[in-house]
Parts: sequence; C-alpha cells; structure tokens
Amino acid sequence: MTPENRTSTGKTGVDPLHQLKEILLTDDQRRISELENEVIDLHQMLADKERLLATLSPILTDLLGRKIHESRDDMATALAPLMGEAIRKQVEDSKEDVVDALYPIIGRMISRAVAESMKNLVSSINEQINRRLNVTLWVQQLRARFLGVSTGEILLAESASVQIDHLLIIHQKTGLLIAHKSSTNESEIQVIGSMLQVIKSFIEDAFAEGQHTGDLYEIEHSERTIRIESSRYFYLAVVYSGVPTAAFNESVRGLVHKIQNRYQKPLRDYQGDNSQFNGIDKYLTRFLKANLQR
Amino acid sequence: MQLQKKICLLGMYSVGKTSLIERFVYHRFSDHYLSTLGAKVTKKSLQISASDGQQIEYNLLIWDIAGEETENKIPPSYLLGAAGAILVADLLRPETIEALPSVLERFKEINPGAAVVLAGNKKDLLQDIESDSKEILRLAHQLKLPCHLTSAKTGCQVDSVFSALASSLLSRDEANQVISPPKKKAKTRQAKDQKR
Repeated sequence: MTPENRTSTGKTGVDPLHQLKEILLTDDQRRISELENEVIDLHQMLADKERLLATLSPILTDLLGRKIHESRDDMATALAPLMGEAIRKQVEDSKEDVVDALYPIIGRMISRAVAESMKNLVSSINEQINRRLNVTLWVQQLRARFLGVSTGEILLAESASVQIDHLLIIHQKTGLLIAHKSSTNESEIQVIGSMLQVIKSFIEDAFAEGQHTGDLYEIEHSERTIRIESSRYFYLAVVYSGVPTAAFNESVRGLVHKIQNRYQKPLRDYQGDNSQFNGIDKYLTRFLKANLQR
Repeated sequence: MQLQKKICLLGMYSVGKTSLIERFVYHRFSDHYLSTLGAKVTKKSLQISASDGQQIEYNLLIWDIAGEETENKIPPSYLLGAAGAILVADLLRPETIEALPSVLERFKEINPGAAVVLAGNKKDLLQDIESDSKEILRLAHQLKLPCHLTSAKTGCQVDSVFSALASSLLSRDEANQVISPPKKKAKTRQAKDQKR
C-alpha cells in the first residue's frame, strides 16, 4: 500500500485533509458559487438591453437631475450642440406632435402680433386721413418750402406725440424693480413697480382660462397709458401720454430684446442685487433720447 | 451693499397683518378695521451687519396679502418670488394659529428656500400671557421657526419680528453667496503702487 492510499482511506475510509478542507472551505465555496451566479446574471443583464435599460432608467433621471442642479451652465454647454439636431430630428419624425406642443405659444404670439399690426395699420390710416383733411397741412407745406426740407420731415418733427414719464424694468417673478428712468422725481418708484405687479398678477390670474394664460399688455388711466412688454424674466413698463406710432412700438420691443440678450444670466439668477445690471441705464437713456427725437 | 427682497405677510383675516406693517413702516396704529382687498405693497429699508462686518441694506417690499378663509384662495403669483414671510396669528383666536401650518405649507411649496418667522399678534389684549401664548410657542417649536409675540397697538416686538426675518434673509444670502465681499480699494491701490 502506497502512502497516498493510506492517507486517502485511513482507518475509517475518510480522508482527514479532505474533511478539514470541507470544514474550512464550505462557506467560501458556497460564496464563490453565489458570486459566480451573480457574475453570470450580470453578464446576462448586460447582454439583455431591455433589462439594462429598466435598471438604469430610474438612476439616470436622478443623475441628470442632480447634475443639472449642480452645474446648470456646464450641462447647458454640454447639451447645446445636440439641441438643434434633436429638434430637427423630432420635427422630421413627428411634425404633428411638435405642432401640437408649440401651438398654444405660437398661436398666442401670432394672434398678438396680428392684433398689434392691425392696430398700427388703423392708426397709420387715421393719421393719413387726418393729414389730408387738415387745412394746416397747407401751412406745413409752405413752411417746409421756406425751410428747404420735406413736408414729411416737418410733420414727423411735430408729431413727437409720445411723452414718456417712466420706464420701469421689473423682474417677472418677484415684481422687484431692476432699473428705471423717470422724467419726474418719484420717491416711491419701487412700490409703484411692485403694485404694478399686483395688478398684472390679479388680471392675468382672473382672466386665465384653464391652461390658456395671457400677459397684460396695456393699462390706460386718464391721459396716460402703461404699455407692458413682457419677456421671459422681466417686463418693461413704459408710462407715456400721447399716441404711439408703429416705430415707437417697435422700439419698445427692441429695447426688451436688447436687455434680454445682454443681461440673460443676471436676470435668470436675480436675488435682488441690482448692481449686477451695470450699464442698463445706458439702454434706457438711449431709448428715451430716440423717442424724444421722434 | 443694497439688496431688494419681496416679503409677504400671511395669515387669516383680521389677525393684524396690515396693522403690523403700519406700525413697522409708519409708526402708527388705528383701531379702525379695514379689510385688505387683494394685496398692497409697502417699502421699508433695514440695515444689518453681515458676518464680515459689511453693512447690508435690505429694501423690503412688503406684500400685505388679504387674509382668506382658506390659503388656497391666495393667487400663487402673489407668493411667487418671495424671499421671506411673516405668518401672523391672533393670539386670542386659536383657529388663526391652527391655520398657520397649511399657510406655511402652501408658501413653502412655491418658495422652498424662503425664510419664515411667526408672529403671535394682539399681545396687548392677553390676560394671561404665559397660558395664552402656549399654543403658538408650541407650534413654533414643532415647526422649528422663530416666533415673536407682538402688539401692533403698543409696538411691542414689531421691529424685532421684521429684524428676525431680515437676519434669516441675511443667513440665506450669505450661504447662497448673494452677498459679495466688499471691494478693497486700498489694497488695489497698494498693489498698483508696488507695480510701479
């Protein structure tokens, strides 16, 4: 009998080394076997696209949400190149869905633009009729000839029909006054800004129909009009008296676009600190000057 | 540094919201009750020292919002963008104290990060201050909010409740880095001189 045979059988026929191995390694072997199963399961999951998606989907939403919260600007920079392509693809694939989604916004914008154009057209026609019927036109023509300028220039100079009293830039969400220019000294201008917000909120809430909300566009009081031009983060309120021309309305919209483009970030993150709007006065002054010349 | 903040006074009708504002802003009081319609805005400036010693001037635009039977009747746009709120109750009307948690919930839904302070008003009418203020103090403890027992009539604690709110606004603005460190002109000049 060889020593190997002796040790493998022993007196009782059971190998003590094997027995010791079994005692010491049973738990580890079971664990290894479990881990093997888990690895196999993971491989299967990786191979099974649907299962992988189901596992990752809830985490991805959280992850994206957290990332956007932590570094909004970085995410915007990372996603920006894809946005144009994604919109184009979506329009190609499901035009109808895109139209349905945008209709409430675009429809409102178009109806407002059409209404305003009609108003301007009526105003322009009225002006022309008045001019043709007005006998003073003959006087203006004589003056023009005498001064060596066109009648149009004389009429334009005399039709400085809008007198602006206040220009207010108001934060859309809080109603706080970001900047203002006034022809009169008004100590409580910040309160006027906020009260305008109260009136605007009240009217917009009161006349909201279901999902269809709208912006307050104009308030008339005695000879004064408050013209409101809204943007995403702020609105411009122009308090004026007189009859506005199409060019005036256009310049109001132009001012809003300029401010929106120049101060987009401080407007979005506004916490009540107006020092972040350095140079905004320049835009308001230019607007006032342009409308004085008109 | 100057900062503007929208703050709201909220609570059931006739708890003294308008009177607290009148006392705080104009130092006056009237027994004549006139119900607020919608909302009215008043302005008051408060100076407060930041932790770096810088003086911060808070221009508070105080929205006095009409008290309603239920907080759901208040248009959300009245609350939107508020940096803080003072929730007011009448110490003699328990139902006005009981209404505060739902007012707070609605306010916080719209402005999750805003500062909130409680004010138990009409302290001057209490017979037994300790017993009559127990309920609002218990609620303040439960909601973990600062609470002041005020009287718009005598002016007691009125400035304190607004100052407490301003302090909370300051803590939030410091944490959110809204408050920028003061410009060190002297150092800049020194640096320029050194360069020369």
